[in-house]
Amino acid sequence: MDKTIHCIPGDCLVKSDEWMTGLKGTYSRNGYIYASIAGTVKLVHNNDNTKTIEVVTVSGDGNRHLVPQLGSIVTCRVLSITCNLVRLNIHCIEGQVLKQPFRALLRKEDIKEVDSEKTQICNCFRPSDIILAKVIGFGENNSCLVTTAHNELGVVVALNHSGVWIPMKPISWTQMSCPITYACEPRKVAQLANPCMH
Amino acid sequence: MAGIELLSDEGLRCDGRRPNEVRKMSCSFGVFDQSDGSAYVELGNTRVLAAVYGPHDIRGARSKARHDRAVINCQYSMATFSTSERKHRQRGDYRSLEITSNLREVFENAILTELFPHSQIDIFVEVLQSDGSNYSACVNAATLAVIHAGIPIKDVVCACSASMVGDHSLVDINYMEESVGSGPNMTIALLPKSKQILSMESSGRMHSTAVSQVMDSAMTGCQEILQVMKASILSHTKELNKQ
Repeated sequence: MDKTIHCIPGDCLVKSDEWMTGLKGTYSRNGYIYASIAGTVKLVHNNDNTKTIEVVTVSGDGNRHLVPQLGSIVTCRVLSITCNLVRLNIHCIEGQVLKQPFRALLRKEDIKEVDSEKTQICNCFRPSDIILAKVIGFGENNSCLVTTAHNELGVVVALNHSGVWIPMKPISWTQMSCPITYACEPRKVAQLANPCMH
Repeated sequence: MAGIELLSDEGLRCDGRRPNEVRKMSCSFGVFDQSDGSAYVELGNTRVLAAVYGPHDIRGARSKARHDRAVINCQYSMATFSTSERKHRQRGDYRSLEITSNLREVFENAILTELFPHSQIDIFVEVLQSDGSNYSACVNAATLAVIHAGIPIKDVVCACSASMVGDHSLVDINYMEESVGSGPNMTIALLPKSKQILSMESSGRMHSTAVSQVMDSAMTGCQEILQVMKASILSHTKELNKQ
């Protein structure tokens, strides 16, 4: 029977040294590692003599307390487009679904790696597209700035507005076509490693 | 003082407690489903509800966002039926604003806000029944709600009030002692492990020699309240673990 150790915030867990790293749910102060959330303590001994300690909560939805960090890949939905900007709602961060969306902005010069002056936003994204993007910072007005200037970033799901809302299939890196009407629409398509849909 | 004795000759207070006794406290978690964390605290006859949302995107004025930490948004309000006379309170009355800003200061220093830059954490506290020590009950309820939400916090913040009658210091004052007694009140919110005081507010006039005595008895009261809160957090965590 393994004994589970329950802890509450403020409980002193271990003395911190160079072999011990505190992960999620802990903080260090004055040479000791303390718990910062209520849960069970998990101590892991690694192969190279290092140890990690973290506090695991038992809430069913895992760690929902996510905010967009620099460099994280986010899944967003396009809300509106203008000639210079795309406004987005971030719905997932690194694959974890958020309860409430975060607002984000995508500037015209961050859409493609090359030829950024010649890009036309209406040929890359349309409202209600689901895109993969990467967080690059926080702009003025404190909203998140993202970029799609990589091959694996861009439109993942786009709907064809031809009466029936069907997800389009990508036929090249700049075009998507509807499987029913075969109408093509320009998009900046994401080159996914293993496209699992369709 | 109209014949009301705050401390009788036998050393009993008007509700039968000894000067160093804290009222009976009970806590429960998860009273709301919609919020990320919620708690309900009863400190004697004072009943307080707290709900915590967050961390989420900044609502409203985006200019108040901070690039390195989360912004804490607090709101304290008293229900109209919370006092013995039904009184409609505006949201922005002076006492509510004061307690709101005190709560925000307490939690800005207790919650590990550096983990959530560019976001906002909301803490809403509502007093359902007020029988003195509203502020300390609110701090206790808000702490439990933050812990229930799983937001990282340095320690279990606990708060207690104390007053002075003659030579004796009274712990955890009720409405009668707060309003009728002409003595001073002091409420202390502290991080119990490191004994760091996060907030200290007092009203009334206190002799300088009495300050340390009242502070000590408030801090002792905090430790007693902490035991009740710790027991309830542990039992809630163990129950979640069994499921």
